[in-house]
Formats: sequence, C-alpha cells, structure tokens
Amino acid sequence: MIVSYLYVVESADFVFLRNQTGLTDGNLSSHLTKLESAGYIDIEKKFKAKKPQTLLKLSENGRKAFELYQKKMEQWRKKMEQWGK
Amino acid sequence: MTESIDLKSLEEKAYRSVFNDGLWDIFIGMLILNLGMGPLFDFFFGSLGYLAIFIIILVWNTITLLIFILGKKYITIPRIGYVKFGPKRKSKQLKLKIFLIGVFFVNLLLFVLNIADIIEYSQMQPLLIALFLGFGILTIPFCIIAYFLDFTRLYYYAFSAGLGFFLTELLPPIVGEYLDDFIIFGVIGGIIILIGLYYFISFLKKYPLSKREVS
Repeated sequence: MIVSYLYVVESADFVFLRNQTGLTDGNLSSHLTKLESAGYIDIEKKFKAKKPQTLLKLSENGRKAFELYQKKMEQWRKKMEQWGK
Repeated sequence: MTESIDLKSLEEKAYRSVFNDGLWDIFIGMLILNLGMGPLFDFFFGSLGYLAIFIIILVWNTITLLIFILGKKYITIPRIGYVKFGPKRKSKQLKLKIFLIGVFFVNLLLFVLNIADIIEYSQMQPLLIALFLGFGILTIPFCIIAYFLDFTRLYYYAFSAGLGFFLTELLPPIVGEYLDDFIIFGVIGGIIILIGLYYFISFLKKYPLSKREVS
C-alpha cells in the first residue's frame, strides 16, 4: 500500500503517507526503512521550522519493481480465475 | 493481498482528501456571498463612486483569497501532509490557472464596459437575461473549474449560483432592488459556507496536528 501511494504521486511526505495508509508512526517508519534498504524509495530528511520533515519518492528501481509486481499479480489472478472455472 | 490495486481510485482518493478540509467550500461560498453584497455596497457607498465600490469589492475578495491561501498553508497542509501529484494533475492545474486568469480579465472587461447598463437597454426579457447571465457567468465557469479540480460538490454550487441569478429577477417586487441579490446570494453563499465549516470542523477532528513531523 505504501508503494502504491508513492507510485501514483510524484512525491509525498511522511504525514501524508501516514494519513493515507492509516499506519502508526512506528509502523510506517519501519516499512520505509526496509523499502529504502531495498532501494525502492528515496528518503530526504530536512527541517522545517525546527521540526523534521521527511520527503519520500519512489526510485526508478521502485517503480519498475512495482510495475513488475502488478504484472505478475494480474497474471496470477487470471490463472486463478481460469482454475476456478 | 489477492485483489489487484486500482491505482486510479487510489490516486483519486489521495487527491480528494485535499478537499476534505472545507476551505474550497468556504472560498466559493464567500465569493457567491460577495455577489449579494455588491448591490448593498452600491446602496451604502454609491455616493463615493464606482471606484470606491470596486475597491471595497476588491478588498473583500482579497480577504476571501487570503483566508483560503493561509488556511491551506497553516491548517490543511500541516495536518494532511505535503504531496506533489503526477504530471496529469499538474497539467490540469496549469489549465485551471490559465482559465482563471481568463475569467478574471473577462470579468474586468464586463465591469469596465458596464455590461449591466448595456443589457438593461437591450430588447431581451429580463428573466431570459438573468438566465443567460446566471448560467454564462456563474454556472459554466464554476463547472469548468469543478472539472479541472475534480471537485464534485462545486457542480452543485455552480448550478445553485446560476439559478440564484435567475431568481434575483423574481424578488425585486417583493423585497426591493437592493435586497433581492443580498437575500438570494446571501442564502446560497451562506449555505455553502456552512457546508464548508462542517467539513472544516470534521477535518480538524480527523487530522490532528502531528507532534513528530511537520509538512
């Protein structure tokens, strides 16, 4: 879901992503750390009015990985539909 | 997770969350209210001349715009977060800006030409004129803005405002010439502002300020 939201926008900050996904701060941070380690997202941390602001953007690898995931899920879903028949 | 992700719905949901703050409703409501205030300004300050009335209306609209801009900057964005949408949305927003600039200059031209006097001396029925003006000046532009913004509620506001213009032709025999616009647009603008306030208060409750992060 995190990657889905980042895929449909150019960039977003931590607060926006948290509001859209409904995840807690800790939960979201944990997921973002893993995604960054995998090279799927770029994280830019800065300060605004002495408070931290975290800007997030899907990397090129992240976009390609997500598109591949979507494609494979679609193929898998179609196979399941055929088996169901 | 077996369902395929509907990216279009996801993007729309994210985009529309920005309109849940009610500020657009308050902004549109105040603009419509201004239509009703114009004749009253004319009644009270008419002796000062058209320029004075123009300045008063300009100040009112400036305050309206400031409420919207500052509300978005200091209330909405810190709560909902910062987002940059994709090229498709950016392109729509650019087209909207160009359209709004065009609308501004057309309205300026209508004001300068004093179109009201020209229409008054035309042969058209007053009700037809009101219908034409209402839908031409209010409904259609607002509907176009609603399309560019993907802001569904604005379609209803657009039709209400256009209809209101038409209704102002029916009221003068009852309430007089200066109060008809004020009543109709006051009611329509007032209702829209109240809707906006409802969304605004709900928004404040749903999205408290984050202590950890800032947008």
